[in-house]
Amino acid sequence: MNQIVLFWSFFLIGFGSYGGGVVALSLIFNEIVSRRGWMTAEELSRFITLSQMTPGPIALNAATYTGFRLQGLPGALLATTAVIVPSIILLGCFLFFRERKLFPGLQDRLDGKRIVGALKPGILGLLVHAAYIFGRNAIVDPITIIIFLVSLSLFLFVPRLHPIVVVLAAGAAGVLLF
Amino acid sequence: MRRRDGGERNSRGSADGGNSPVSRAGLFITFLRIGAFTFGGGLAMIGVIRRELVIRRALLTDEEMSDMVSVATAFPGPIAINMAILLGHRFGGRLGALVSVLGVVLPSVLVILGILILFDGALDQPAVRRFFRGAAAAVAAQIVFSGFVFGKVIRKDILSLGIAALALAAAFFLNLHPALIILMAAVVRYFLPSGERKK
Repeated sequence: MNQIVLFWSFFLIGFGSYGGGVVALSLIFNEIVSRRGWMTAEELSRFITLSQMTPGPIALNAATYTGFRLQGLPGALLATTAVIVPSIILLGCFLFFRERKLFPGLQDRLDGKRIVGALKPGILGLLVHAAYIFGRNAIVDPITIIIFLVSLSLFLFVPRLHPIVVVLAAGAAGVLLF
Repeated sequence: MRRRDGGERNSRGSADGGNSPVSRAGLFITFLRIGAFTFGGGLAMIGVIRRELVIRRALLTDEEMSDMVSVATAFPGPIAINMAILLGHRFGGRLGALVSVLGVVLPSVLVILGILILFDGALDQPAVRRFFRGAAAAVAAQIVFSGFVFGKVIRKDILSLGIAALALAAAFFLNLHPALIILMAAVVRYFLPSGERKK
């Protein structure tokens, strides 16, 4: 029974994480902290920070981590698979229909730009929500406020700098300053 | 276990995939590399694929590539995984898609499992905790920055801004699933006309 809940939870995360990246954050917080109580907001925030320094989409990292925490290695594999399944089913259908020309002009009618454009407002709303939930735990004292502001200016004004460099430097600053 | 299964069929199935310019082993290795070196977002990965398949090996035209990117972003799921399915299928059929997905997923799964198994206790060390407190503030900045990027794209479209505000309010005050909020917002935006202000 627990396996079904774990699978379903990460199936939903995979299904809703358009484009991946931080877009999936609101969804991950909702499922893991609010709905299921599998982790505290603090623990999840720490994991998300960690996951910004490891390869792969956050949704996938969160699945492996949570699955392992709850049910060991089988849980990790189950949750990771669950994140991928929506992509496989939906794109599988798309490729199947296109190959057999069941819906001629399917590719043309599927205007990716328009769909992505339509997704943006909702994603922005959820991003602001995620920024609030995450920021509430991350920005708590003068030092974190300063690190936050310096990092934000770097992201805004030095776009060539890879985000991971900023995150690692902020971590190093944390070790020195706290 | 699934990986070994894929590998076996890979060697047996090379006859039907023989006319493809990319072998399944090649697909696996390519996506393994992409999976291992893509940090944070899927869009950086598209640059890597383009360099490898369009420019260096000329296996794909820019038009095919941009068609694929638009399908990969239009469908739910992380872009990295969707691109692996589409490209793997293009060059190696169903098995090619499976092999590519395994390749792109494997590095991140192994890294997380490695951290959990080898360094779990280390995460509670005081110095590591201080590191994470600093890094978390930068990640918060990263999320806010992503918000800026999305906001900039739609700032001239008053209807989109209104929908974003409603989605935000729904996330705060209604007990709705975020996936449902995104879906509803997208459907509404898709069928409304453009709300761009004319100067």
